[in-house]
Amino acid sequence: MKIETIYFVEDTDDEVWLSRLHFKYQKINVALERQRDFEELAVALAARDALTGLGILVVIDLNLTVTTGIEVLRDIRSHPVFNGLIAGICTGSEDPADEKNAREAGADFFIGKPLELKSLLQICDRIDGLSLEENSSGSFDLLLAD
Amino acid sequence: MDGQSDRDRKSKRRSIDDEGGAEPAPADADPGLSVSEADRLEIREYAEREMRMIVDHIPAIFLSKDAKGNILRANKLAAALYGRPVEEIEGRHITEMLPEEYSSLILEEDRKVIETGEAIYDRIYEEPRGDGTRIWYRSSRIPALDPVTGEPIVYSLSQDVTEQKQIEIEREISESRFAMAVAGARLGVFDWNIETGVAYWSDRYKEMLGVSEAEFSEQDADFTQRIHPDDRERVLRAMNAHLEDGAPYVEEYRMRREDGRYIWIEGRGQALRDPNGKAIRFNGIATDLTRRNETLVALREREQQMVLAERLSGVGYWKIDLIERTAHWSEGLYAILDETPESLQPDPEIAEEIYHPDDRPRIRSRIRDAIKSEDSFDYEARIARRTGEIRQVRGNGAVHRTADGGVAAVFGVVVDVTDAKRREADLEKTLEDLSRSNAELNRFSYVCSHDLKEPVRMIEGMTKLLLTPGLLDDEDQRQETLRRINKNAMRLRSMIDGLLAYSRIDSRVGYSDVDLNTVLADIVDSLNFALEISKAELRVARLPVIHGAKIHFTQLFQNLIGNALKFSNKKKAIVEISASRKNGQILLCVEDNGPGVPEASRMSVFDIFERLEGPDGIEGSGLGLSICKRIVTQYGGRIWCDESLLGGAAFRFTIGNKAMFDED
Repeated sequence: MKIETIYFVEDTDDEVWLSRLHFKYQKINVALERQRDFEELAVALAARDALTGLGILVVIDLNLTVTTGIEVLRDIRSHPVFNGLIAGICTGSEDPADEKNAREAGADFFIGKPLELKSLLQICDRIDGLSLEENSSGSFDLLLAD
Repeated sequence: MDGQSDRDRKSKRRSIDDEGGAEPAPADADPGLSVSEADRLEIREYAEREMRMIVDHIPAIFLSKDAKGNILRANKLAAALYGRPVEEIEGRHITEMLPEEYSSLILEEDRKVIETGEAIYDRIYEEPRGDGTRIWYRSSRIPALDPVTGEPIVYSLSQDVTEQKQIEIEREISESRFAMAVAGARLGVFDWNIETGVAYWSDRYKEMLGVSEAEFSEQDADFTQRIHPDDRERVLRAMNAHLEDGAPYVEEYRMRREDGRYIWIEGRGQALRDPNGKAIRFNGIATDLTRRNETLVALREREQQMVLAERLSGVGYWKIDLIERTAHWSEGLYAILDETPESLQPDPEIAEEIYHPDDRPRIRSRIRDAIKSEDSFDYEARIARRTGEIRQVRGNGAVHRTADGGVAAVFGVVVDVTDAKRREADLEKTLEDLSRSNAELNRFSYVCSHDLKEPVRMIEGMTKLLLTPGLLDDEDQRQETLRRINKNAMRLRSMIDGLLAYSRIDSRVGYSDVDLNTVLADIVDSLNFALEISKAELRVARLPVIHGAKIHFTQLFQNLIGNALKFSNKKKAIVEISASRKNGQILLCVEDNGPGVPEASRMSVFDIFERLEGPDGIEGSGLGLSICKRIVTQYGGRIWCDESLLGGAAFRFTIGNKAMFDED
């Protein structure tokens, strides 16, 4: 299953702006939608006709301003409709406790920021059957060096 | 044969007695022989009468018996003894007069006397009587020949010595009892002949002093030489007083044993005096008190140790004697009570009143349970001193029982744990503070590593894009990227400044009385331009003077007022600052008419790097409110956020330090 749409729950504008730039220049053929919290996410997801089998990925920032990414994750896992979505945490934290908490809250993945090609490939490695659709040129043009 | 012979002899004896001793000779008597016979008979009769008279007047029980035990003659004392007339005794066999056991003994004795011809003098015989009593006789048995028949007989002369014998027995019993008592009590007996200097020491007395029989000399046994030098003068003075004036002599002193060791003695003595009252002997008893005195010394030492231990440990001891109805409080308990034996007497009736009234039922219940269960008991209670000061004590008690299981006494020890409790509470608070501080430090480390990295990571990511050839060729995009890099750099700087401010709160700064009215006036001056631009209205009530550091309060109000202005979503921001008293503390409030703080964030908003997004994406450094919280906490206060009547947020905080209003 190809990743079609990423719902990026992130309240920092710069983070979203940077990811969009990465997606653009890395030629990642995935729609990136940004929400600031669970309420916005729920509205966006509810607007869709279907949620399953469509390569939907929810990526949540760990440290949101008002709430936390863990709480948003819990809200998803306790939601009667959204609980089966592929969802995980994206963070600049390297604290093992954060990853443990995320796993316990039901995270399918725990990746580092920024959200770009490298981190998306990590998610695909972790989730069976999940992959990225190559763009029209047939390859990812840019992998920024560390 | 024997019986016939006895009757013949008795018949002869009666004929003699009946004649009365002066009867004329028979008419048919041979005249030639009659004279001499008459003379002979007269002499015999005379002898008989004389014998009777003697026998009757002998001050002893008299019996004469033949070899077979027939009683030939008895006197009036014998008649009195046997309770029969003399006539009824004479002619009877001794076995008819005496119990069998005793009569056989008498017969045996008589036989020996007759056979041997040797008298037995002053032998004591014990005769059992039918009523269970006994009679003792002192008897002498003398062999003789019957003046009539010429046959061997026995004269017995007896005296009733029962009374003397009983006295003797009583004396023996008494002496035996005394000896047993002396031996049992392990008393030593001494007797000193003052005139001759000869001394008697009983075996026990010698044993006490370790003197062997061989070493003891009656002449040289001067016990005064063995008295301890420190006691000698006193003992001699007491002894002389007794010998001269009869003053009682009972003294305790140390005596040197033969092995050089000293023992404690209690001596009791009594002088024997001559008719002129002069003391001629001095005797008495000595009791070895060494063990008792050693026990007493050990007890005294232990008591002293207990007193010292009490002083050192702050422990007090109490005892309620339920038999004597008395109470005892130790020196340590008086110290805990802050009383003296003069100011407060221990009394079983008021024993529990030393405790706080609320604690008394619990202590009473513990003691009752201990009495039932035979266990010891412990308790914690408060003691209210006369000054009103409350001391916390911890006690342990036990019940002392009588031999029959009754309750003799209840006793216990208490220790004043007030200071220990205070230290414990201080320690707990310190640990709590330390724990909180550690948590804060952990949080601080975490946010520093995470939040500070975030703008750095942004700058790093964006500069990478700029440095990648052919990537950001569009000038607008390059400008946008640079603008964002700049914004993150500024944010990073703001965070570093905030961290510095945060870390400086703990710096030791001098405290003084800070007039918050002056602090607010200075802040208004510094914000004057911003206030004009935002058309804000700052309403400041009368504020108190607080003991603290001016820089702290300046920072506190600057952050709160600054937040109110920064996050205001109204055309005209209103910020109101007020103060009041609450539970002995000063309550200050900074409130506004802005957007307020969502209820879910009202706690976390004070966490370090916790940010609220304002209108148009305005963000703080995430440290302003953390700094406010840290300042307030340092002053023993609390800060919280709720809704304001102005419609926005109200930040309220208390300050524990000394504070005064003008009217104070």
